[in-house]
Amino acid sequence: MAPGKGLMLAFTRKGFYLSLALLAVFIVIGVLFWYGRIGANIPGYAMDAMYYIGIALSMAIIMSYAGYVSFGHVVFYGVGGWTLVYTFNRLASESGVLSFLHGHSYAILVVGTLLGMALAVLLAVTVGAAVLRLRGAFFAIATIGLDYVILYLESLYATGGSDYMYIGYERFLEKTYFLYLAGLILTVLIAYIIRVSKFGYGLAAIREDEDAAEVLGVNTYRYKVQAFAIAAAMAALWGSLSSWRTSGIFPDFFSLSKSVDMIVMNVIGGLGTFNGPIIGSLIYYVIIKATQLYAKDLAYIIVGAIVIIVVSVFPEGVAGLIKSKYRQLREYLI
Amino acid sequence: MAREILKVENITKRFGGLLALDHVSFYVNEGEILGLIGPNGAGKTTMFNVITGVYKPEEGRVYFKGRDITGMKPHSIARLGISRTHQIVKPFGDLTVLENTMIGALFGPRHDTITEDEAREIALSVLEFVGLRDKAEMPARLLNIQEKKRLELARALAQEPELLLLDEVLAGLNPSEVAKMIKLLRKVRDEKKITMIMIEHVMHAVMNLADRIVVLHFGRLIAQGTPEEVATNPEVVAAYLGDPEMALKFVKRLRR
Amino acid sequence: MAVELSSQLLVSNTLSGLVYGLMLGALASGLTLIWGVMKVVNLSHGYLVVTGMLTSVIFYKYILNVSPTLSPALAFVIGALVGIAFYYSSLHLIIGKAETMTLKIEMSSLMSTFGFGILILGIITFAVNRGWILSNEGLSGWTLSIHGKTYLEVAGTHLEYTKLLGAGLGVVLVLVTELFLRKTVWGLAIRAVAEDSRAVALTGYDPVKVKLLTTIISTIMALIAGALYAIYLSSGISVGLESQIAPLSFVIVVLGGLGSLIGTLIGGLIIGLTYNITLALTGHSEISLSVAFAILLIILIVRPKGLFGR
Repeated sequence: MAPGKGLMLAFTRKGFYLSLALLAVFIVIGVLFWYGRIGANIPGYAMDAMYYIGIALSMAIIMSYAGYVSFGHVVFYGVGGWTLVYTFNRLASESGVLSFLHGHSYAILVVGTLLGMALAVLLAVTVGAAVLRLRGAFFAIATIGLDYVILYLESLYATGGSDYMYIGYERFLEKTYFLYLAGLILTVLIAYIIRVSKFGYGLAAIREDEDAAEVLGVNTYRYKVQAFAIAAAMAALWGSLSSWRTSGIFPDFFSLSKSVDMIVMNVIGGLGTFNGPIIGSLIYYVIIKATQLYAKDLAYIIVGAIVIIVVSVFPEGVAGLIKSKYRQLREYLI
Repeated sequence: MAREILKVENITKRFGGLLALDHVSFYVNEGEILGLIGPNGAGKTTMFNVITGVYKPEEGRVYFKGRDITGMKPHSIARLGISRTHQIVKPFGDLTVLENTMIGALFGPRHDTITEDEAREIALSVLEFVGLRDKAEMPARLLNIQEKKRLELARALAQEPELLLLDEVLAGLNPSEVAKMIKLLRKVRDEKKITMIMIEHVMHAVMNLADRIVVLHFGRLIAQGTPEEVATNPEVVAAYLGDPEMALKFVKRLRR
Repeated sequence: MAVELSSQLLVSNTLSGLVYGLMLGALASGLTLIWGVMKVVNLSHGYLVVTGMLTSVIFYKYILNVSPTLSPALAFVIGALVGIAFYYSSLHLIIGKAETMTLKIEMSSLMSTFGFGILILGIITFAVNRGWILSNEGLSGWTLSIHGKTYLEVAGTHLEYTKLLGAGLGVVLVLVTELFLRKTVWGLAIRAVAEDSRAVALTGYDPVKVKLLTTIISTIMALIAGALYAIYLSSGISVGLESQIAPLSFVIVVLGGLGSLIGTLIGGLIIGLTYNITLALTGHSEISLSVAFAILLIILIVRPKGLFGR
């Protein structure tokens, strides 16, 4: 009873207000969309925003909370998308092992997503067991290597024959919107619970000083692998959801640039806080959207400059900046 | 009849060709303060690292309350009830003083059952105890060195350990801060009844606080006994002659 | 006959692998310097190399029609300018005053160099989008021939002069830098930083200047190696090559040991041979690259200081 009560109380903390407000906005947009009061434009933007928040929070578990920058995170995202398409076109085809699901697109979606998340966890635990012995830059480089291995092997497979790329089922944007919303609620809840729990404190200790954390009784290795696995499952969830939205996966599903997106959003928002990655992803989305509309040529230049400026001028990110400038806002930013 | 809480048997630790600890054995009784002294490079911190599981010794065993803990992971050893502070303080800089201390409480021997609310209460009372209560909400990196040392102590105490290893908690403090810290350590012994091993260079402090003293020199144990016995031991005095400042302090001690 | 053919294939792949390996070693040498000396894991290294490649192309094709054999000299000048910009934009605020590289500073510098890489990518993409350069560039119409032949024949294998020149000058680049580090006072100061940043202050040199100099030299090496790689490849020069150059450079630097220039040549040879022989056996460059990264992962986990690291 006590932990349950503590958890309930945790959701009434001011740090959760931003998420509540955002979720409320997304719900209102969804309801208006469902009843045909607004066109598809605004819900489309909202889904983009949910997607960015989702992948940023999945990365945050390992990068912002535990301090491990993983350039290979996109691999888990790709595994999620790939598994969903594979489930549709192979496992749940008329001759597949899950043929009884054939024709029930939403059942396949759920099963495929869960399979993808499970596969991502499996990969994270096995690979993580090895690479999480490395620290700092060595970990980052190892994950770059990991990403390239998967990328090359995937391109080999893709050129070998690619009937697996598309999901042939009819999809309704209204329903997809609420699937995204469900995914976002799940992601936000998991991230928040981790942040305010004992697990979250342990990860914070690892981020700040891993040796000191270990000597203080934190099972650092186990915590890291667990955080890596949870982050992987969440990335797979978003890979699955976006392959459903875009009706298939494309070669860029495993590309390093998605990891870059995830990392940059966390850097902009600031490491260590729950709301940092959310704020970072919203800012990043606005920047990306604005450059797409008004200065397509300059996208990378702007992103590169922002990363340099954030890292060298206010390394604690936007959330950290707000926290130190306006102390009274601190509780809202946990 | 005093009970042995920690026993170190024949510990040998090498780094490449360097013999950092050479068959060192000693014990600590429950409730006492053991001083661990010796010139720089004598292997004192290495011994702490062996006890807490950071290093694995090549030879020898460590027993805590009769249980062999050699080769156990540091976090497992911490959870058995051995806490330590570091010579170079290691606060979690971006976390608040309270959060730092809570982490100590959350992952100590009671890690299985403790709730966050309990951890918070323990942390607050420990902060009160060490005199950091009013800095609880401050990010740890903003503390001064003396406060950081207190925070290290608070974090270790929040674990509610049975054995506390103190690695030069007095180093870098000015004389009045040293006096305050000594008072605090006395309070830890008298009120919390925690057994302590302290590595210390501030000789008058260790001579005053410690019930017994173990002296290491180039990885070898060269003397142990009461402060008086150790201070009059010719081998100890000779060992410190390589370190003029220390030698002087010893000579002063002997003249008294 | 089949045996004869495959052994011939093996010989030619080994020979071209050796040349390729030396080229790769030169490409990685700038990275080992900045990483080994300053503990800056330069994620923009691949983009710096590409900048060097494009410098060579641009001056040859669009501006002065300068022969690519002179492009290393241009790369030297441009590299110095880019290096200064790199240091002051991305590194100075983070590492300028740092006495020791803590994990946090190391990660910050990693992230800022990562940002600098994206910035270069942005500039190149911009130039391509505006039509200033092609997305796939080459030194079209330029060849190197001696006695009417464009290749040297060794044991039945054709080794193109362009490749020999690129790789050969790459080795010269590494050796000259090694000499600079060993024989000059500034080289000594740089090596002192590698040992201990605080020790430099004792030698009387300003640590900031030494860091700036190290960054400039590392950048110059990346650009010159890039210019040489353009000679080596002749065609197919694009920003996309970064995704091979950067990861392979990391593999080679880790193999050779951080900060060891000669080590990168050895690491380069190992990777060049592995790559070419795997390619000969499997026929897929993807598998060859995967093998290289598998080596990286294993080395990182088993022996993070590299095979030849101190």
